[in-house]
Amino acid sequence: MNTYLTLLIILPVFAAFLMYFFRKADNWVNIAIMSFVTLFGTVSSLVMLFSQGMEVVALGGWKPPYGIVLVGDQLSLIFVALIYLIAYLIAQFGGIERTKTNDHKSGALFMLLTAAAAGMILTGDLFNFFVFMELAAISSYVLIAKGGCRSSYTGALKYIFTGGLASMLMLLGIGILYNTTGTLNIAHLMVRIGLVGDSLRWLALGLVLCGILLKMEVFPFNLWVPESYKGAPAGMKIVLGSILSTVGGYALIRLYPILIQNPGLIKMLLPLALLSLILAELAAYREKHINRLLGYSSAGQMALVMLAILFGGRIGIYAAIFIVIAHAMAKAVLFFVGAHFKESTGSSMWESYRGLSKISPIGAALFTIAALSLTGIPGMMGFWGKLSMIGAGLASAKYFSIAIILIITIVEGVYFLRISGTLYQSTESDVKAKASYLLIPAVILVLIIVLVGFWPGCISKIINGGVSAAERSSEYAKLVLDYLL
Amino acid sequence: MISIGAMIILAVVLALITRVFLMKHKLLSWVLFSAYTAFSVFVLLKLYGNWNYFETMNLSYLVGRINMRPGFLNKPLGWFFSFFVMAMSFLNSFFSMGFSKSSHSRNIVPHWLMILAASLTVFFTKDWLLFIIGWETLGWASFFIIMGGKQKKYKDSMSYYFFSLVSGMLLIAAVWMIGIKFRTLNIHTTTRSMIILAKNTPWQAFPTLLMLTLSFLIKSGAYPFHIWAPRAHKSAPADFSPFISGIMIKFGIFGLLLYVIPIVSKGYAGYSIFGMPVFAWVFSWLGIITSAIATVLAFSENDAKRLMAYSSVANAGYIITAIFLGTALGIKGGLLHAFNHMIFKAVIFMTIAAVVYRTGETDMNKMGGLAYKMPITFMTFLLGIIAAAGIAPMNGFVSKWMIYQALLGQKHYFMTVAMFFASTGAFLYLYRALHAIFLGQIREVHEREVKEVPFLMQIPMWIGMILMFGLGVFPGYLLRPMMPLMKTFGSSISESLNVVQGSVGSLNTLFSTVIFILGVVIAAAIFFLSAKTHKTPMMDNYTSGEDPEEWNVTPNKYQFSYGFYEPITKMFSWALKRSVDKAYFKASYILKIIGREINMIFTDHNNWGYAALLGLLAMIIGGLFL
Repeated sequence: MNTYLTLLIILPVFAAFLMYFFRKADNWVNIAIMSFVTLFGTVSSLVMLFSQGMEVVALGGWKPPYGIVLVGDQLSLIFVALIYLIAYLIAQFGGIERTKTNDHKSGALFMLLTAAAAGMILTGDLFNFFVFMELAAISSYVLIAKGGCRSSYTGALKYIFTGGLASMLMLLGIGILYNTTGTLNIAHLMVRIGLVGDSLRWLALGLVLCGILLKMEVFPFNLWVPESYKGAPAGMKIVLGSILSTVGGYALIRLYPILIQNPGLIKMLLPLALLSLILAELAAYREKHINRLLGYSSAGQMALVMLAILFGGRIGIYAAIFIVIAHAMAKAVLFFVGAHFKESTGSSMWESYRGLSKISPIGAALFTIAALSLTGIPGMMGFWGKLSMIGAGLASAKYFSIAIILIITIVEGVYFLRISGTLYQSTESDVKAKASYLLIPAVILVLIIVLVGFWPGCISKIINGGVSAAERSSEYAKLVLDYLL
Repeated sequence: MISIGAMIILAVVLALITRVFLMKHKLLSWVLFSAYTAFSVFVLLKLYGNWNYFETMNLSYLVGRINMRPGFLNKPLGWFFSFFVMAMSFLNSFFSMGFSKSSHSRNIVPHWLMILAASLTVFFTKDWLLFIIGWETLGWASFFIIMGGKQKKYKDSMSYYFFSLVSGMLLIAAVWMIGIKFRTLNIHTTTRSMIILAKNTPWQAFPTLLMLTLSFLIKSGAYPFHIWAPRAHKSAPADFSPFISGIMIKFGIFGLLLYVIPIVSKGYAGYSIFGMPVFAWVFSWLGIITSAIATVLAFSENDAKRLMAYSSVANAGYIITAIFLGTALGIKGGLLHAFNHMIFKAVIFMTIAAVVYRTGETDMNKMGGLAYKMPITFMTFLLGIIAAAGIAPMNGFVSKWMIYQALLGQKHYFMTVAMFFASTGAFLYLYRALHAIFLGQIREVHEREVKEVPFLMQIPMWIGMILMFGLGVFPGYLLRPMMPLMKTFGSSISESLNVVQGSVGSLNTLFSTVIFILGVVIAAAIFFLSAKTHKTPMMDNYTSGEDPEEWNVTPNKYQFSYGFYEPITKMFSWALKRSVDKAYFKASYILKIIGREINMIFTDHNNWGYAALLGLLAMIIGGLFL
């Protein structure tokens, strides 16, 4: 069991090199390697998750807090399982651009990205987190730029600039924390954060947050979002929406115990999250290009996650985790179906998807279900997340925020169901459905969404475990620091 | 004994089966639908009287700190609404079976089954969580049905869905506040706790109560939330309009009666005005305003469905007024009117759908003279509008009389006068609809092609006519079963078959029907015994013997009731100029502009610096003040 955690990070890296090795072979070799690795990752993390085990691995045998640890508690394992599942679906089914030619470069970068994402989640060391973040970022820069249209380059450039700036700031923050507390281990930091003086603590945490908020697509760090989502190749869009933003959400949840010790910081972050939510959803309201719309929606949902964390308490963290999972799955479905629509009609403007329900009824139904889940309609997963979040907000008496959230939910419902309505209108076009294999992963994810929607109990136990893991910082510290002594 | 939970699950399963396999087989879908609704009616009939029945399902949901197990309670209020929903759907299914042969009908069975499942959930649930789930499901299921009708763009269904969402969000917020305050989401417990809270500290109960009331009023189409009604009813498929206009508009009334009215009537200790709590008085007046405005708006309508939609809104207004009075008579009048309205409005819409089936038209100015071609439809429509106008001997008369009695009994004279105005106006526009569609000059194309609808579609019309007339003569047949329902509202009057008790007197419907028939007999006698009739062509009648060709008017072009109420519309033009419709339109336009500007923030690079500054400013200012 002990080595599985390391395998979750190392194996994709190994696969990346392996793919370069097989660069002259056919494309199916690539797909096979990637699928095998990601499937293995999904299954092993799920097994670890459901066996309720708590794993800590000290890399190289160096004991914490001197060495780097990998921590696989309930919270990390949920997220690792999630990203590996999405990665598997992308690897197996997401290959539109790669037809006959063996595109080993994209595959290798994708594997590196997966490894980095897993690393970001599993690591217990802040600087290690930063390193993996950079690895993921650089892989994504290249992958986005491979989109082939003009927005790919502009999007990638925007991401590079903002990402680079945010990384600098985050490094600065980590440096300050290291200087004052003398440790980089997250668990140890939770214990020693009191050593830092008040204003310096705010500065350091604020700088570190800059990096995390960029991943979470919070305003004003999300200016790269629309262009990148538009220009990235189809598989990369799903990575952006479902994997990278998820990791950002995880980071914020993991840092929650440190955050709540600074209530002033929470007070300052709340209006930022609200502003981000309002701007993102209102921008989506007018958007005609479906991928940019989904990008804005991503930013909005992540703002909701941030709000849920800021509301605090067990309900807040529960809501945050639930929304992240629901969003990752629903967003992946929307992107898969969106790519299918784009292949069929040749256009990315959702107004030209009129009447597609006749040609691709399953696709339209999947799109509708995922959209309804994001909006928070009962019967799908997103409902429980939204419900818990509203409860968390009311319990912490943040009435203004709740009012804004409810109004924005209405805006969200309107623009998503507008697209759905367009799909179901009658039309006399004669396009043919293409690339229908893209619907298979969507079906799998939608089945999960509806299952959890009707029976949230099947994962609520695990999520409650994750909530406990997130909340009890002292236990986390004890777990990590004492585990190997 | 079949459980309610099983019925709900059965509906969902049938909906899935129909959606996946039977979309092309419309007739078979409707047969399934018919069977299901018949079965539900049977199950419901067995449940009647069994008011202590409850069931709990074996799942448990953990919401926040509240652990709940979904369950269903059989209470009279929920029972009656469910019964009417199922029975009217059953009637409608026969109509739809025939209607499905038309080329522009779509298979709406799966979504309708989801609506039925959601309705059962809402009406019988024990806790608020299932109520919310059912409520939201109603919203999106009906959205997809309305989408299926004829419309160029999706604007009408979006307008409906928008209001549905607002109602849902208000409901969720209110329910959470209740849950946090009382630590439980059980409807009955929270009602009782809320009553106690309202008695002692009304200001604490006020926000939640207001939010719930608004949520339910939005669903009922009260002013100023009424604008979705004409749009949605017009764009809905013709065989769904009876359901949405007759039945679904009442779900808000159900919510009000379930939660708000018991609290407001049993002792809201706020300020009192005219013997009523201010809260209730305001909403009673809102009901009157709704009916008045809907009546005025209906005068200028040329589309049959929109006209009837305004009529539904007006009737919803009467019901809201009556139930907020809080007295037993008021609630009884309101409830009876709700049920009567379900019957006659559904029947009216079915006749309109029959006309659509034969002519493909809903624009009244393009119809006329269909009475001879579609006699059964004409009779049904005639009886329907007599009921809708509240004239003896139809069922609408009894319930309207009761509402007037309730108002007078509480000495609300202004309200009574306003309601008379709305009611008389109702008769005006309803009769115009009758004339425009069925009387007068028939167009050539209709003369050739139109005939009566097939017998399958006539069945619900016949049944509707019998029901309207029968319940008008013997209202006791509905009032007697309603006694347990009235008991929950504190009234234990025992009902007789044909004498209805009011506040300043009583009404003997049998007697009034006999007088009415006597009047008809006398009038018929005079008609047949007097001088021989001389038949003149209708055009001579309209044009007073002149030759219309001189003014370029052919029989085809001349619609007698065109612009019939123009003088009235002119009279009210001062009111019609300021419309809520325009306000909503303006708001949506502003939202669009804002959205576009925000979109520019993200795309226009020159703004990025300002965006960063904005973020920083938000953090600082918000952190200081929030």
